Amino acid sequence: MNRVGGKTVAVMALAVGLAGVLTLSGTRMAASQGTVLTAAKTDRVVPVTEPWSSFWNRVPKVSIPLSAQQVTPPMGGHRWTLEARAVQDGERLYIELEWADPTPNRSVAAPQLFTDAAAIEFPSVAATSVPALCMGDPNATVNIWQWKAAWQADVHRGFQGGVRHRYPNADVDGYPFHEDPAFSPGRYVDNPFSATDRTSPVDNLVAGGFGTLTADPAPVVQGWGAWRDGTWRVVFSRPLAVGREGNVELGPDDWTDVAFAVWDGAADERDGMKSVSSFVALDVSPKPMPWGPGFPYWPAPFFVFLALWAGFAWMVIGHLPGKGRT
Amino acid sequence: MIAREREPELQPAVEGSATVAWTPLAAVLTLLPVAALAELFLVRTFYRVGIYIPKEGPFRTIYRTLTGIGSFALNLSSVLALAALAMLVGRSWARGLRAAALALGAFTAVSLLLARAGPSEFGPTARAAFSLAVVVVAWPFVRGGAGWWHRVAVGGVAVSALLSSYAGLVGDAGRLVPAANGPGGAVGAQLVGEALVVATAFAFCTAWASSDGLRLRPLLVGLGPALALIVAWRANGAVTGILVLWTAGLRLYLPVWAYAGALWAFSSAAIGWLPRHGWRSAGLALLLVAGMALDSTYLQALALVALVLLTDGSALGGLPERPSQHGATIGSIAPRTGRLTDRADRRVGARA
Repeated sequence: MNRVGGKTVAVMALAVGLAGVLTLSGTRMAASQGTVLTAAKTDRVVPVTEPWSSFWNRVPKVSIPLSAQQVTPPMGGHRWTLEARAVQDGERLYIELEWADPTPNRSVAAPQLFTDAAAIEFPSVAATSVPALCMGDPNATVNIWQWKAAWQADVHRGFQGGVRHRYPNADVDGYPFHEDPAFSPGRYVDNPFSATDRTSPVDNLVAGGFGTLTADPAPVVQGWGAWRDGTWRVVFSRPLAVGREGNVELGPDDWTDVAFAVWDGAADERDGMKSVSSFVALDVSPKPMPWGPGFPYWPAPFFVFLALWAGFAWMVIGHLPGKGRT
Repeated sequence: MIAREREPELQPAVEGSATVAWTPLAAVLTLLPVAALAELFLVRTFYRVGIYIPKEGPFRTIYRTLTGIGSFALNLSSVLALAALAMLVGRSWARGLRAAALALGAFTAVSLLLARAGPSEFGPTARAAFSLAVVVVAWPFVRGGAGWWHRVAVGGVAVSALLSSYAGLVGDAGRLVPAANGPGGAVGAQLVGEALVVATAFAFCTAWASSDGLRLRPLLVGLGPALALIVAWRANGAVTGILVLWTAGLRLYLPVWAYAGALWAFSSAAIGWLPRHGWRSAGLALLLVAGMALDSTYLQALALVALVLLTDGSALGGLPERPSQHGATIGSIAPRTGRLTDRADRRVGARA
């Protein structure tokens, strides 16, 4: 038989009462410590179309693990690491993504070709710990910005999807109905990959669950990517607030969840075949980004801190019960 | 072989007494896994899955009621976790184990501070305090005289917690002192930590079999959660994958059968230890709720309490007796043969 003393009852009553107060007041005793991508404020001109500018080298980066998308068909992707940087100038948010990719894939001009791409996902209503699963859900839509290398090639050099670009040495006598849209089925059904008048390499999308991905026709998101020595860098840029349904609205001191995805065209990745991250927090901070010389000797103090911690831990465990005393 | 590695009984036994008092610490440690598991199922699982179910008619009321209970369970669990740590601090201080008391107390204090001040300034402090407490709790046990597999398992948990904390510290460092080339290795630490967690589950199962004898019933019951994971994965990999990520913090980058096997081993150990080493079962339950990410002070507190329970409180002067299993811990239980049988369970039941 077990006996419950008055002290135990008092402690349990106190715990239950405190939990009740916390529940009723909407307060949590848990403090989140997840990965945070901070977009500090800068007064400088942000080089959106120069991802390899020295400007970006001085913006703090966060390493974000990607894993193969294995939750819904078609599955695929890699276990890569993405580096993310973010700044804001009070009006626009800029996010730069960097990842290793040995071969750039910039064409979708043939059925067997797939483009390199990268995407950023926000909950449409800026918040943390939102219950959005992958492509959001009907009660919590998501806003996705997707940059495609093939679309950038279209913007940069004109439409690259025609026969003439894919097979430059091909010769035809002529198409009698060249201007008839019925003979260009992609354009006829408004397939976005067949568009010939692209102005941005970034697609602005809204989704409320799998199979609901819809393009917002307003070109509010800008971006540019550049591949160098086996690494892609892509910059996304958008006004903090755009006032369009389904688009995330951000203020100069907002926190929101954000997730990332990368497609490798060389591995035939498209659609759900991609490398994805889980949600991390984006802090749109009003604090100015520290400029000047920066802090290039970071590893030294960090590892000094770790060494001090280890030394302290060693000292503490020296005072712990030893073998045989447990 | 298994019987030879059997370890000594670490929990105190009271002979000749028919009545055992519930101490406040024993009550808190008993209720904590219940509240934590309720939070895991009702907030992190049901709340998120329920979003996909049309909330009409009676389901609306059921959904609201259960998620309300889940919210309360989360708060109760967070209060109990900190209360348990505070009591453990007092207990170890009273027993002269000042270093352990200070390490655990530092983390408890920083957790309370963080709940008030937010993570931006004190995040690294909490991680450093948590890491120190992990070392302090695990070290005496890992180098102590317990069974080899048990020490390996506890060591694995401690190392994966330290790797997770290292990844968090890297993120904190870049945020607090912005610099272009901050410290790295965060992703590698997370990946190694996750692989270690999977391997550690098998070590716990072996530790249970070594200490209490291999029995069929826990192995069969343990199959349930593993099969549920596989069935859920086959039925709806999208929801299952994300739920595993958000409940246990695992990214599932290894083949899913590896996780299913680990869950089977983990569950078997948790069920198998229940009759004789109930605190260890509670520790495994808390470890499951704490998960791998450890990205909040609440999860860190759960992980610390779990480690204390899994190490039989060896760094803190032992654990209070579990009143509910008093009968099972009176005197000494005859060594078991380690045969694959359920008779051992029945014998313990008869003693209780």
